[in-house]
Amino acid sequence: MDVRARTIRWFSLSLTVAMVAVAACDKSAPNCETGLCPSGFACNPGSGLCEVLTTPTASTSGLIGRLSAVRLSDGQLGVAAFSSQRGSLVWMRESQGDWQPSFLAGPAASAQEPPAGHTSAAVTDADGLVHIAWRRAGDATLWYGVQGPNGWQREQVAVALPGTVGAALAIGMWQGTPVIAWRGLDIQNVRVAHKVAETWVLETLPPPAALPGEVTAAVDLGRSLALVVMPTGPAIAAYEATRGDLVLAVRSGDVWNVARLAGVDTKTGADQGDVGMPVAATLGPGAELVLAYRDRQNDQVLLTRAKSGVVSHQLVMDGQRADDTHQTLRSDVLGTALSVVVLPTGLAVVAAQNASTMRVQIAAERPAGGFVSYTVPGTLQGWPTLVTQADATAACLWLDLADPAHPGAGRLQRWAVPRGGQ
Amino acid sequence: MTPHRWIAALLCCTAAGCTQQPLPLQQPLAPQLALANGLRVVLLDADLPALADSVRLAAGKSLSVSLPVWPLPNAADGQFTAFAATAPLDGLTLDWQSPQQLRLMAQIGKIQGEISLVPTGQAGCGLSWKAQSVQLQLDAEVVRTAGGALTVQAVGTPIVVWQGAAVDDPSACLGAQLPSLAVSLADHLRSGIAAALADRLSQAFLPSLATIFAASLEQSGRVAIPTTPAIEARFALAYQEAAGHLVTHAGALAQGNLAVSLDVDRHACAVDVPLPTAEASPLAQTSAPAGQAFFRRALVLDQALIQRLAWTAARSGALCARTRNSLTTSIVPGWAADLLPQVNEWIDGSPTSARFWPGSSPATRLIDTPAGPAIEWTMDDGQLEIIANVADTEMTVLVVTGGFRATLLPRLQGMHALAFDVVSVQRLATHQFSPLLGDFATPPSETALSALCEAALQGIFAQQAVLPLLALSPGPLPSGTVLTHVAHVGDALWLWLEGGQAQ
Repeated sequence: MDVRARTIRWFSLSLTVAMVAVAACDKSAPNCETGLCPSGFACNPGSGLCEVLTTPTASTSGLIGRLSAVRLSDGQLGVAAFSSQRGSLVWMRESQGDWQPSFLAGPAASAQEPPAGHTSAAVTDADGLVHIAWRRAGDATLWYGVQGPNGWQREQVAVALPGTVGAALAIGMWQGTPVIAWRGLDIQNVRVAHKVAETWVLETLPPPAALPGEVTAAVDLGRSLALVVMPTGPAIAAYEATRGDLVLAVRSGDVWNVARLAGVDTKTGADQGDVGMPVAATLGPGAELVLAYRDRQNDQVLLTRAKSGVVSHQLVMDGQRADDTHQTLRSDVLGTALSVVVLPTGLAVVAAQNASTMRVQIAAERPAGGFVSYTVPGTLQGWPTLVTQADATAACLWLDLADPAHPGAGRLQRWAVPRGGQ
Repeated sequence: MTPHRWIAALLCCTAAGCTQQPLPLQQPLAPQLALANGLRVVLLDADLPALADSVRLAAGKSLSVSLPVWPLPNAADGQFTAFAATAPLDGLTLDWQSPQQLRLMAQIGKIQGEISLVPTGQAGCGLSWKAQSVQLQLDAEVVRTAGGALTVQAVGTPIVVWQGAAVDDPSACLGAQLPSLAVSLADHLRSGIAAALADRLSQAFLPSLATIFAASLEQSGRVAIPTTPAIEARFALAYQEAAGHLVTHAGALAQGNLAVSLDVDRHACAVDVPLPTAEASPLAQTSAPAGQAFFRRALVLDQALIQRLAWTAARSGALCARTRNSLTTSIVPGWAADLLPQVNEWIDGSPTSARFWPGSSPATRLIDTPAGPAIEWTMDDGQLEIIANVADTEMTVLVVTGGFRATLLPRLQGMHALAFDVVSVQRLATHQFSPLLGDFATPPSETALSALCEAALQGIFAQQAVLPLLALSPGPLPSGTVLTHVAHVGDALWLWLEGGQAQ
């Protein structure tokens, strides 16, 4: 190919790319909900147009469901949540002791958009940018947004087919780009999408390694899941509902190694309870994988550490309490929402939903071993999430549900967790 | 559940699926723990003909008898050859001869056989022997051996009445010189044949009676409660003596009564309620189910025993229970709209689970319902918790406290087991609130609340024990025993068993 021909070919290609880009950003671009809208614009699925993002007044009340919190590059916190009041995904950024909310998806973000953001997950990248994945419950679709200098850029993750995205999802940063894991309703398994060169690459987790004596085991994976990115690649902890086990999938190279981690004696295959619904994960110093999860039968919250092939389990919290009226012991439904962080000291902090008392309980690991538990001050509390703060302590965010103005919904609250064991 | 697990399951297991073998008791249970007549084994007179038929079948309708070679008084003189004949068992009846002895009367038809006299060094000479009929009477009784084991043994010696028994000597083999030999031969054949018949009938009769009054019901041991493995239950069953006898006949039935001892460690979730003290009621008369059945007998559980079983279940912590599965199939759509309108839109689907905390020990009462006999189970203080997904997170959305009354309907499971289904639930002065919302400003729909409570308790106790009887199956009873009917008679639950035969 001579230089002239190569130049023409390059020019044609560039022109095509430019036309596509212009079309994508054009207000009249069709099917914008499956493509990119420019910063400051959001797709109106009703009209198929990219429309200017309005910023209606948002508040930190009228919220419901799981929170996803991150520490921003300036040390402040950011939280993604669902506004039951507006049916929309709201992003709240901490600023001078207050929260600055703005809507990211749903009718409050764009009048024609259906409710969105019932479930979301957030992560920050090395540059401090926030990446959020969320689910639109109505059509069970997966969405992704990244915070740019001029606002949010959103897109539908097209590889996640409509109608197949379950309520459990998680996001992380791998090789500088987002990786999202979610429960595929159609396959009852976990799907993973990694954005490589602006293209989402889809994978499905292989089933966990067979147990002794197991021939073909039905697998129902991912009703709860958590994702962290280790030096070797993503690691996904997920609940396997058929046997009630906690499963860990670790990617190494191009291979997912999937095995049952708890809830079963992997040597004998004997059932050891119903654990892992829900599960939370984080990375500790030295790439130590730390998982907090619920033991459903025993009303306990357990912690598992895995590093270099060595796995250890700990009891974090127990739901048992005295019933003075009957002189008996009962137990609370504990740990139905969970969050875990590991402080720079290597000590873990776990926040758990007590679904019987509607209170948030926090357990901080003591340097001498074991955990000390707190109940967060307040009355009706839901959906705790933990985040490490700039001062190397943990903050707990939750929804205060004792708001008579919004029965059944809550106001975002924050509580500094006392230093572990002190 | 394996078939040989019946009694441990009956008395100690609090969930279906118990397969553990009981361990020996470390020490005998205290006498005050025993409930006299808690369990009875009953054989109705009306079933004696069918039992007699069973014995006749077991013995065989045609009895083969054979006698070996019989030497002459002076063996050097020669011998009679072996004798073989067939004895038709024409009829067999069973009747209680005394309050403790069951008498078998067998009517045997014509017996005829050939025999030869073979003098030493000579050719044999043919004779025959026949009896027109024979009647054999055999008494048996359930006794305890010196070693303490329960067994069935024959009482006295069989009485045999011959009709037309005689030696036929058409060739005059015996001759005029040997008339005493003819008498000896006749005696020898009668006694030998009688012994063979008695032995054959005893082998059918005694095990048949042992099938009814099974020694294997006498058990004791300790087992862990499957739902709460740290809890141990201890039990003992023993046939009682009445006027020196283990089985007694009176009126139109015979019964073997067992004392049942139960004890169980208290689970921390169970209220500390003393063992019920109600005594067993006298046995009421009843009739057998229609039709005839082999080896039909009844196990009669007195209401006092059922009450103790309920106490055992509660004390072991088995009633501190939760559903294992979502209530998806049993809850009507829209349940939350009636109950929790404020958060209805955030409740995702059916409740994920329900839990029950007993605040007392249940009272039980046998009742009759249009669907058949049932147990009314009343817990006057309990707490039912309904857990549902709120914004994809499990939350306790409703707590109902107060009394609950359930109707437990026995259901035959296959051929061997009995389960109790919670078929209906009533709330008794309950109070309800939502941990999410507090007390209700306006009361929830009574209909919706009742339906929810019923579905929840059905879900909770579908796989776990509301009574330890859930895992009932005739395990240690003779192999082949099947459970066919359940009836409420007087103050007892009658479980009709058929089939099986003790070895």
